[in-house]
Amino acid sequence: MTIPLGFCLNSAPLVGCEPFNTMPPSTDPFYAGLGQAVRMGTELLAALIVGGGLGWLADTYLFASGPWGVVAGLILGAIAGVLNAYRAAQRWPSH
Amino acid sequence: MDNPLHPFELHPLVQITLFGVDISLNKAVLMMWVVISLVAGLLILAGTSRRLVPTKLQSLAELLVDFIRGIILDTMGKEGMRFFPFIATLFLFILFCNLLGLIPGAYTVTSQIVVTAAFALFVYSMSVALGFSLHGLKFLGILVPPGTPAWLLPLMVPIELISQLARPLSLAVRLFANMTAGHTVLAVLFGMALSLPLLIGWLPFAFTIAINGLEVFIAFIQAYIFSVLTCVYLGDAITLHGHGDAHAH
Repeated sequence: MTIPLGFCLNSAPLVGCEPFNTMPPSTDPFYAGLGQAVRMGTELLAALIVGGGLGWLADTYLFASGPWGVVAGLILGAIAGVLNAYRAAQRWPSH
Repeated sequence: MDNPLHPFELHPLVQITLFGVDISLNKAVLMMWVVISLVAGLLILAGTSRRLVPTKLQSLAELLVDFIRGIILDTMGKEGMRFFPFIATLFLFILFCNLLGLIPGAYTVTSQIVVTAAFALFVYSMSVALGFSLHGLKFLGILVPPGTPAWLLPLMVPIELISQLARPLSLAVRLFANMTAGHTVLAVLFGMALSLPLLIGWLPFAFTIAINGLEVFIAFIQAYIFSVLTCVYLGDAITLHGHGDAHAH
């Protein structure tokens, strides 16, 4: 783990502070992992909201289809959310 | 005790109305100006003396450039480098908004969903426009995952559509929610520290210090995530995979 703000700011040749003399590469497993972890929750939630929202729009403005648009939208949204989370997880560095 | 959401309220400092549109100055606008001038000023200053042995400021700028370059090369490859100025601007603006917002009395611009949603919608429309301009109508193929049998299409296309439309929402909500939640927690803990007697009051106060440290970290992570996902979405539009997330490391 590299603390993001712990760069070594020696203006002298950057010897003697090897661990901190670069910002963490974006492939740093700690960063990549944390990034993914932060993503998951919203990934699930956002798709659910969009699905339910589209269903509600269809119910209210397109067809007077009662609650069924919201029901179908929420189900599709839940599937899409899991799909998004799955795709985000596939990017997890495996090595 | 004060309302913990009080720090997020915005009141006009200078009332300005132009053609019936309210463009009053408030704390958030001022903060954005401060952030823009700070970022621009620091980087211009860092770039003026290009020495072989860099000064402190120059080496910090070089680290930043290298970091953002790494993000782009990882997610989009070489052809993504033409988006470097955009990604770098986005990253630095969000990072500085998040970090400067932690200074007591300052305003966290990214805790307004209007700001994060504007960024997210802009990024997403940019990726869609890029996709259509590069691939024409073939870009709609991102709604069909490769290898889908024809009878599943009526199910898969709505699901893919929802998962696409969820992108700007999750981008906007993630940044906004993280910043707002962090500052609310700080406000609640600080309120507790003020209202309790000193004997117990030092405990929530100690927590505010610890959480302030955590918030610095979160400020960085959120800026990083926002720019990585921007790259991923733009990369999807370039390569037309629909789920460019999946390409392995």
